[in-house]
Amino acid sequence: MSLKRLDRVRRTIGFRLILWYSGIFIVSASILFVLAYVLLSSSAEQKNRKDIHLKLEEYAAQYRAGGLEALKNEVDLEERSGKTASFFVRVAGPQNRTLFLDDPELWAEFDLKQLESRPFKGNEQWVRLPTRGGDNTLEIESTLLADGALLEVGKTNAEGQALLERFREIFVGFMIPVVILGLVGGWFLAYRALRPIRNLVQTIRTISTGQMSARVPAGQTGDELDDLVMLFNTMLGKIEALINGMRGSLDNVAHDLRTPMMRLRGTAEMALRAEPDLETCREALADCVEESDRILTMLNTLMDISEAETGAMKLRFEEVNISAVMEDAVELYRHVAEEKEVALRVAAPEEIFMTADRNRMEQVLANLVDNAIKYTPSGGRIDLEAFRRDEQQAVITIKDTGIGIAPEEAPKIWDRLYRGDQSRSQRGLGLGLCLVKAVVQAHQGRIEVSSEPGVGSLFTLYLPTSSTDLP
Amino acid sequence: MRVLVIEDDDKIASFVTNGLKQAGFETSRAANGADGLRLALNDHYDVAVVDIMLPKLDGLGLIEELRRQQVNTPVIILSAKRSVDDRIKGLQTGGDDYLVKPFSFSELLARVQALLRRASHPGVESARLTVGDLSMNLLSRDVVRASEKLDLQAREYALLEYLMRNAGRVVSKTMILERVWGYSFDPQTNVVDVLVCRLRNKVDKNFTEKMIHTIRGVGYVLKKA
Repeated sequence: MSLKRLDRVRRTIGFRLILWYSGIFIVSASILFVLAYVLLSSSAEQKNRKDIHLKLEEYAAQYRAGGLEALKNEVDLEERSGKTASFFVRVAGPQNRTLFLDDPELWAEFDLKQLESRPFKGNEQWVRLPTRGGDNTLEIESTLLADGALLEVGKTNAEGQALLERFREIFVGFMIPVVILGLVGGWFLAYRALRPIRNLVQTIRTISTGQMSARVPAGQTGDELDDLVMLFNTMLGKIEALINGMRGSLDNVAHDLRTPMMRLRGTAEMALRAEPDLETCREALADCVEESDRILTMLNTLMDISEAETGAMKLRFEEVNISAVMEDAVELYRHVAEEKEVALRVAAPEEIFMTADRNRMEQVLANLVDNAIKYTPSGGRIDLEAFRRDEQQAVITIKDTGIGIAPEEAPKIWDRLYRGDQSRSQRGLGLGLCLVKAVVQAHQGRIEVSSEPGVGSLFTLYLPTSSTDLP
Repeated sequence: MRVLVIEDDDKIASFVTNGLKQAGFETSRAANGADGLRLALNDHYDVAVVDIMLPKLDGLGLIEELRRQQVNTPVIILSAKRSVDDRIKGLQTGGDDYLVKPFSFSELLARVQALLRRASHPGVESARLTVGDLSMNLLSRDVVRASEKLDLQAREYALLEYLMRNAGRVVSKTMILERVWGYSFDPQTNVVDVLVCRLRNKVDKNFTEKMIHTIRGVGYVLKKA
């Protein structure tokens, strides 16, 4: 169980970020230290050798001036005054035999025999004698004197070693906070960097439990993760609108279908309760078929409206000559208008091309003409006009001399199943204008109505001619 | 004439097969796609009526397989999906016609008969249609009933031609709307009623024997007087 959890932690981005961050931090600090250590130790050695060399030259000068005695006096003098750290001084005669060795006890820990046993030669050669324990090294430089004797001067590197020792101690004391700082810094960075992701995960969890309104808290930094959060929130907004729209329209469809279903059932039930009579039954059955056709038309129209309103309607865009579509709509209703003695005319340029779904546009215009004919009494007239307003927009107007719409009713005519007081006597579903508006809006257009009761109505459609902003 | 009905819903299947039997067809029925395919491959049928949503093998897969095996039985697809895309998909797969549920039986019957006609006389068409004492010259577009010339407008002529071609068979309002105007949706005002009424005035008004009949809830039929 805890192993599993550990494994999960090990896989998290946060954990890896912490590791990387502190790792890089520690490695950089170590490299810096090693560089400093190497530099320090080499400069300590150089300083030591420089000291030895200066002393050697000094003593060699003494020797040249006053021989071995003068050298001894000088060494004694220096030792007594104690002003300089003590140097190893040895003078050897031919065959490398020691003639003078200053303060031999001081150098007891070094194997001085080695000096005597080595070949007697050359100038300024460096010899390194380790202590028996190996802690320090005695560095010795030698020079041949004029009388053939060999002068050797040396010094231990204890001073430098002590410095390096101290440096190492400081490093250890320094690395502990560095590691801690690396881990804390890594954690902090990972925590900060992953906060939007954690918010995202939290929000998704909340949404999974059914709370569609949850949103990811947006940061103020404007970085890539903020962009992600904003895009994600926008997407959630769209999805929520779509789901709510669907839910709403499903409710509406269910509600709107209940009444015609009731009529259907009622007709069948009445026929069953009546005396068995073939003619009555046939009549009832015909009613049932007609009613069910009406329900089907209604269902299809309601689905169309819902799809258009929620943006789920599939539009098949093509170049459409809207003038021809208007002619077709008028042609469809020509006989109906003639029967009703309503003049129906189109005035449009030969061609107005626009990108649209032809079937849907036919439906829009047919519905508007249908509507106009219904509410225009005999002797009236209906005029369809179309023109291009500019490069981007086509305008279609449908003007009738019908009963008009009362001002208080005007906004409601677009509603689902709304039927004005004067229109209740007319046959129809009450969905025509609602569908018109939804389809026009799905085409990124708009529709307006102005009307005067008793004089007539004017419907105006504004439609974009190019598909640039269409999905 | 033999019709194969492949439909899993028993009620719809019996409504279709009974109707076809009454119209003089011999029918077989399969309740799933696999059985349907077996029947269609091993036996000769003049038309197949295929539902899209079928158990075991769906309608589109079945049609595809039939066409792959060079079986060219005309197929009418039945589907609950009404979008243009679905329609196109069905026809591209190899269906010959597409009917959306719920459909009226007269429409299915008319489509079955149309497919049979297309299969039996490809390309050969008489220049004259005659039903009883009504005759139509398809070239001169003259329509005569009992030696009286009828003066018809374009849509009236189109409607009459359609009714005469389907003489004795009921055609639905949807079919007329599609044939005469090329509209595939339902206008709210019944434009078909109005057109039929006008045509009736010209064809039947001066005659005691009526030819155009309304079958309530179903459609219209033109019959010999």
